[in-house]
This record gives sequence, C-alpha cells and structure tokens, in this order.
Amino acid sequence: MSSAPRTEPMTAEMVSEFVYKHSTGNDIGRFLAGMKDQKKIWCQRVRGLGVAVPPVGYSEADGSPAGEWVEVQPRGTVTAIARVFRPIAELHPSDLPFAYILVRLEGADTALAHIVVDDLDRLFIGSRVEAVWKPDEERIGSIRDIAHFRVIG
Amino acid sequence: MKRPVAVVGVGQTHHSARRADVSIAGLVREAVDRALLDAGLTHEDIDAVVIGKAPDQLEGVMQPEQFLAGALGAHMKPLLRVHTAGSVGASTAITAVTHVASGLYERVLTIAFEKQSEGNAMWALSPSLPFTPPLVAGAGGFFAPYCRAYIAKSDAPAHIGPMTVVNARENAMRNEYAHLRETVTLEEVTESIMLWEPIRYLETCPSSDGAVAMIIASEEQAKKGPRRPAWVKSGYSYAEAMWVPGRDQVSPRAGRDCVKHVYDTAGITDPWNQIDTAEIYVPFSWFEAMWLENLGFCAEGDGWKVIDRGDQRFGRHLPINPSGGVLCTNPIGASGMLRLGEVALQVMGRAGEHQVDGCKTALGHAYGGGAQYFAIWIVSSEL
Repeated sequence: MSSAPRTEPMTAEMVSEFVYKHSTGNDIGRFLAGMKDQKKIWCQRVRGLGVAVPPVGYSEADGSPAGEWVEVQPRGTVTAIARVFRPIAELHPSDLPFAYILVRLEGADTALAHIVVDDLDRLFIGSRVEAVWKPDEERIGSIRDIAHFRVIG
Repeated sequence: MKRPVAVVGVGQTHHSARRADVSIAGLVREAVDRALLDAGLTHEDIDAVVIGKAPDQLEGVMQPEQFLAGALGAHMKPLLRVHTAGSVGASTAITAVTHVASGLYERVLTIAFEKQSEGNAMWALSPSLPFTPPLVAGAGGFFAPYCRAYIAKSDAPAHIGPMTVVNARENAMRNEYAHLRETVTLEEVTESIMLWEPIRYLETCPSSDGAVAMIIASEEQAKKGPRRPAWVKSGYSYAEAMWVPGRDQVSPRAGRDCVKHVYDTAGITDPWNQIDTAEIYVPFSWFEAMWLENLGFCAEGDGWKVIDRGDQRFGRHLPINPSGGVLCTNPIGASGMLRLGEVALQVMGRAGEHQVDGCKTALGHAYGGGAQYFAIWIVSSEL
C-alpha cells in the first residue's frame, strides 16, 4: 500500500472580472452633468456640514435630506497631500509622479479629493490650486472631467 | 424573547427592473424615508442600524454598509451588516429584533436592498470557491434539481409549478409596489421557454431593483404610536452546511428546526389553522409546494395538493404570498425583509388591496444559499 504524496504548498489561480454600471441618481448626476456641460461644480448645502462636495443628496453627519444647490469655484486651498513617486500603471490616475490632494474649493465647507501632476515641488498644504478642465469633447460626466489641479500660488 | 418587540414602521420602494432614477444610496433612502415617516420618527430617534444585502458581487460595491453609513443616518451609531445570502433580508430584521429584545436599544432601523440592474445576478451568484467544482449555474440552475427531486419524491403533477405562478401574478395585481404586475395564463406559463427543467422562464423570479426598511422598537416605544404596531412573537435564523453528504435538500433540516423553534416560542401548535397568512420565499414556482411542507403547513408530500385545491389563494384558507411574493418582485437582498415587512403590514391591517381579512397572526420566511440558511418570524396584532 502506497502513501499519499507529500507536497510543497501550491496555489490555484482565480480571475474575477465584470463591468458594472452604477446609476448616478439625481444628486451625483447633477454634479457630473454640471462638470460635463458647464465646466461648473454644483454642490449642496447640508445640515451639520455646510456646503458639501460632492453632493450626495443627504447629510453624511445626520442623514437629513440635502438643501439648496450651490455653485462652488473650481479653485481652492490644499488641505492634505499624499505624494506618489512611483505610480502603478493603469491603477493610479497618472503615469508620472503625482500627488493626491484634498482641496477646499472656494464656497465649499468640505474638501474634494483630486490630483496634482505639475510643479510638485511648489505643492504644499496651504497652496492655492485651480482645476484644469478636459476639452469639451473629452468630458463625459466624471470627476476626471477635471484632468487635474494646477498650482497657482 | 427577553422583552416584547414590535414593528412600528414599514417602508418599501416601488420595485422595477431598473431604477435608473436613483443611485444605490437614493434607493436605500427611499425605503428608509418611508419607514421613518410610517413610524412618525426621524433619524435622531434611531439608536442603531442593521443593514443586509446579498453578495457584494451583485453591484460590485465592496462593504456597502461602510459606503452607505451616511445615507442611513448611521454616523456615530452602532451599524451592523448581516450576510446570509438570499435569506439576508429576513435574518437582518431578526438581528434588529434581537438588538431590541436584548434591552440594549429602544428603536432600531433595519434596511435591506438590492440594485440588480447595476450588475448581473447570473455572474454574481456563480462564485468560484477554492478547490470546489465551479457550477456556473446561477440560482435557477442550482435549484432546478431540487425541484426535480421534489416532483419525483411527491409524485406531483406537472401543472403545479405553472399554477403557482398564475396565482402569484394575480396576487401582485393587488400590490402597488410589485415589479411584475401582469397576469399570466396557465398556457402562457407552460409555453414559455424552459430554462432549467422543470423551471420555465415564467416560473422564475425577476431581477429587481428595490429596498425595504423597518423600524423595530421596544414595547414602551411601540405604545407611543402613532400606529398600531405588529408584535414579533418569535424569530430565528438557522443554518446548515451546504455540502454535507446525505442532507435533505428538498426539505432541509435547518428549515424544519428553525420553524419548530419559531412555532414553539410563539405557541403555535397547528400552523395551518392558527396562522392567517404567510409570505414565504418562492423564487422558483415549485418552492411554494416545497416550503408548505417544510414549514409544517401540511404533511410531507401534500404541499402540491394544497396548491392544486387552491387553498393558498387570496381569500381562501391560508393565503400564501398575497403580495405576489418573490416570483413577482425580487431585489434579492431585500426579498427576505419584504416577506417579513409584508406580514407585519398584514397584522397591522395596513396591507392595502392585498390585506387578508381579519389577519391576526402571520408568518414571514426566507431561505438562502444552497437552501441552507433559514430565517422566519411570526408577528401578531396582539402583544
């Protein structure tokens, strides 16, 4: 009678891939349409937080429904930075070194996450940045309709 | 239960194949807003939140409970996510019941949803498990052999499955929230394409977008009104292992044990006569006959006879799924909670056009996974 073979640990590969389509609904929908059609950033005033960016239709603080729509400016002040020196192809939003930022847009009370790709040596917390829009034909109704933010001061 | 618990508010969305008008958060909030309004409460009155949905692969949103915390008004509150496959809506509500029964919380918001239009159920429910043969069956292909086994075991005639669908569709005509509101004839069902023998296209549940929420409260809170509550007499969730050799997949033991526990706690000795209506989880036609037996409403082998006689139709001895049930509306994760919420509305006397006359005691049921998870409750108009 032979015995079962001893083995080194092995692995089994598994690939999981599927393309989902999320409905925007009215709130994020108007935010995305504003960027695509008007190059404007529309947000909502919500209880407990002020003007929230992006608008989700309710207050993240207490669940109450959002109030009026407010246009905020496509420029503001950097409140946080995470620098990526070696981007991972196709996963990161830039092939060249870049920085993730949180930017408090003028007229807003919460910060928006985005990226800065140029003048990284001039980028600090407190820096002033401005949105760089993609051309009309490339805007699809996405947060990446803003290609990136550039340092203006 | 350690202390009395009641349902004080129920809210559901209108269900359809694609609710493109709302995001996932918007869909969930539609149900939550309606449940809070129904209970005469606001988010500030809620002590804890319990959310459930079916596998994350359905919408591709990992940790949806984290993503939805703000939408649920759960900031700075205990938030728990429950996951028991297709039965999750029911086990989620029962978890909210134990939250209140424990004495830790006075008013708990419980919510379940699915937005099937954002993904594909066939893909999402054909998982690749390590070192387990991939079935690529989806739910229908998986459960069809169970139905064939039932037919062979009980000698049920072929028209029982189609009859079940005709009745379910008639019922859904009285439910303004139902997804499929169109009657079908026996001929239309039997002539529809065979998907997974013996389950035809019209004998399978739809893919729906929808959500349902309930407010579960202590006796003290429930008595404050504004409406007559539904008292939860008992509720349990049971499970058994999926791949145990020799298990009875047609009438799983976990289901039988779960309902026995529920009946014993609620003082039910003769379910056929003591229960006024039941909403049970029937995603494929034949499961109505199968669950009638598993739930002890009739003897083993007699489930199809109840349907053949029509005793489970609206207005007859024991109306089953007066809402139209899962065969007419199936936002998977929400489907179990819809069963429980519907029977709560029945004992409150507020089920609308599909209200069962004089309904005092009702059973809500869901199953999930490979017919291995069961969650059942009994609600009553009396404390």
